[in-house]
Amino acid sequence: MTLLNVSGLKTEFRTDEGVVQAVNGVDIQVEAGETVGIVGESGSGKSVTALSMLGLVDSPGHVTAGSVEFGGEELRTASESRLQDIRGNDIGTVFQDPMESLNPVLTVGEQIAEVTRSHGRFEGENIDWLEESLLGNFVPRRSARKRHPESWDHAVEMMRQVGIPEPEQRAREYPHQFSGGMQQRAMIAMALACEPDLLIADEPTTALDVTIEAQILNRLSELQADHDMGMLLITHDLGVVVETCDKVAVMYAGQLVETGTVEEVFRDPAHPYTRRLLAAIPDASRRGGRLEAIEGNVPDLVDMPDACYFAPRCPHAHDACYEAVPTQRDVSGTQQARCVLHDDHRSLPWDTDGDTTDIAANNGDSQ
Amino acid sequence: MSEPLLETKGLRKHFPVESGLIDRVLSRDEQWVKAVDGVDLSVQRGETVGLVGESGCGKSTLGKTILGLLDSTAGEVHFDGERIDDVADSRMRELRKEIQVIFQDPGASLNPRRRVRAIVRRPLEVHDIGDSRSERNDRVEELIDRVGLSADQLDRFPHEFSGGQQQRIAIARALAVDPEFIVADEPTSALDVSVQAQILNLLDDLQDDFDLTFLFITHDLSVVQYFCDRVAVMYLGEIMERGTVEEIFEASQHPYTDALLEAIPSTDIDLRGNRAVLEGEVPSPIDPPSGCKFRTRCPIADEGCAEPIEPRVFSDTQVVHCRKRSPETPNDQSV
Repeated sequence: MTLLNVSGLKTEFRTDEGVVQAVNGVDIQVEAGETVGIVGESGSGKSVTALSMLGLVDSPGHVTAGSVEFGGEELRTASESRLQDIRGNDIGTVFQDPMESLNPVLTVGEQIAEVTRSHGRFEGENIDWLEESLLGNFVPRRSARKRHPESWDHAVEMMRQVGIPEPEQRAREYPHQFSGGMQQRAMIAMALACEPDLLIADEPTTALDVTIEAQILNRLSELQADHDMGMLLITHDLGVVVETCDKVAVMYAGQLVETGTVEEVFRDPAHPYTRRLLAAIPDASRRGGRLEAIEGNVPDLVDMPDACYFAPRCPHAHDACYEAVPTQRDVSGTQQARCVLHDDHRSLPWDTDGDTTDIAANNGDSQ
Repeated sequence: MSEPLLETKGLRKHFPVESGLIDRVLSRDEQWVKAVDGVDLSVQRGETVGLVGESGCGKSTLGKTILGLLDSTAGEVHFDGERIDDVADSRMRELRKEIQVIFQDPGASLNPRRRVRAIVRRPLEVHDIGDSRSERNDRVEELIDRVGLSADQLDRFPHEFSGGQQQRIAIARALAVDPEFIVADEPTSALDVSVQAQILNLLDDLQDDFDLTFLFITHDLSVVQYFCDRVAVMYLGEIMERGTVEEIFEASQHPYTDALLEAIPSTDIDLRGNRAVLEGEVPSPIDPPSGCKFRTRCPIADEGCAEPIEPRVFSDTQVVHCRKRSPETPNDQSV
């Protein structure tokens, strides 16, 4: 059975300027033990997709259509209390900025223990009424280690698993005493504390340096393999997707424009947007030459026309692109692309001219 | 080699760590964060030198010290043959006509309450360039056109622009005084890759048109590889290795450079899954390791690395701060 099955998910934000379709019909499947990457530029709706799945979109945002099935259960119609049971217990989340997600006045160990305690994993160590009330912050209590030893030990064990050195000492420290990389490890420890079936990681390494990023991604993959966990990795970094994911979904202006295995999509990208995105990354082969920038900006998603959303920036756009929003078309294997060019796949423009630099030249400086 | 446009000699910048009352009563030693700890750097006219390193390595502090935005603790900065780190404020102000800067976050470096026209015109007014307001406005329109925006956008406020467009405005402002030298401090780090490519192409064009020299500060080695002529790799306030782009990317010698190169996630599917991971974290710059500062994370370090080390010269351009590598026994596993 598919672990997570999202279909036709739509989220809109009603703003003064108009209705913004932040997520516009997203379909994603994640199997146990598999890593699926959602990749896109800022403003493409990838984070809102994750929040919509978890029922965490705040007003003025509303999930308007679609279904989110997790382990066979529909989450969109589930009650808030049921969602609270699921979040943190069955679905773990890691967000981009650990300093914003951690409580600055609680020790790291206490915060990790809180996850298991709030989901009642260890008998008699639940969060009591005093702690839940506002008073809980002011009443002096025995140390966390003595009040709930099992949860505490579990927290220390989780910190060890994510690679925090000397976890017994570090568990008693506060978030500001941790470096960015260590804070993000603590967040991962927290997300994994209840051994979730699915981990949603939203830009988990974007705030970190490359050497630390490599450490964290490696550790995440190891832990994922150990627990046979499904993972949804949201990132803007195509390199991170290649390194860690099995399948990838490329998102643009609220829509998935290309999906498939990492192998399929990165060997032979089918959507012009994916192709241009890959070409825009500086690398050795283009040294000294010009980067193939995608001219223009991501559209602002208010009153989008009934046409391909990428067409205004696309070097291959023609009349058919402006007739209707293209549907996902099968390309090969499991690869799909939202592009009319694939109706007649024998004559793809990038196969015929081979070298896309001419297009870049024609298209250059048309800002 | 001809006289460099910009040169630093043994440049240091140490920040005092705020000490508490008890420390002062007990008259404990004052502690210093050694953000920049003896940097020799030279930038030739017309070239782009990339300064790379992880966050906290002191690369932005070095940039600000060169600009005179921070006073140096020791060492010298020379610009066009003139020593500029101890000049009077009035002279520094004149020098800003020659040395300009572009910062990382354009949203923070543009005044939100002024229109784009006023923002770009401001340096002209400060430096008294142009005779009349209309002459300055003409110059502003010319500049804004040159960076790829249109003149009818001049009466808008910065928040009405996207990040990439804001960075274009910041570039136009830096160019207004027709500088010779620009310190670009992570100019594309806040931008998406497609927009980053636009900005890098723009800077490349401008360099030719305006005869600019760049010090390009970034944490992203792939940008350096594309954009720079020479590279200096910085770690904990010191330059670990310097060389031309070819030397750094094809024959890197320092283990830290190797580790940085390895850590870049590649989009090449054939290179999947074989990146080596550098363990550990950057030590505190208050109390850095003795000798080679990288030795605590270095895979090839031994006891000798704790002793002070001499940089080794591999070629006219490549200098490596590592005692384990020498021209006789170079790095054989070059990336």
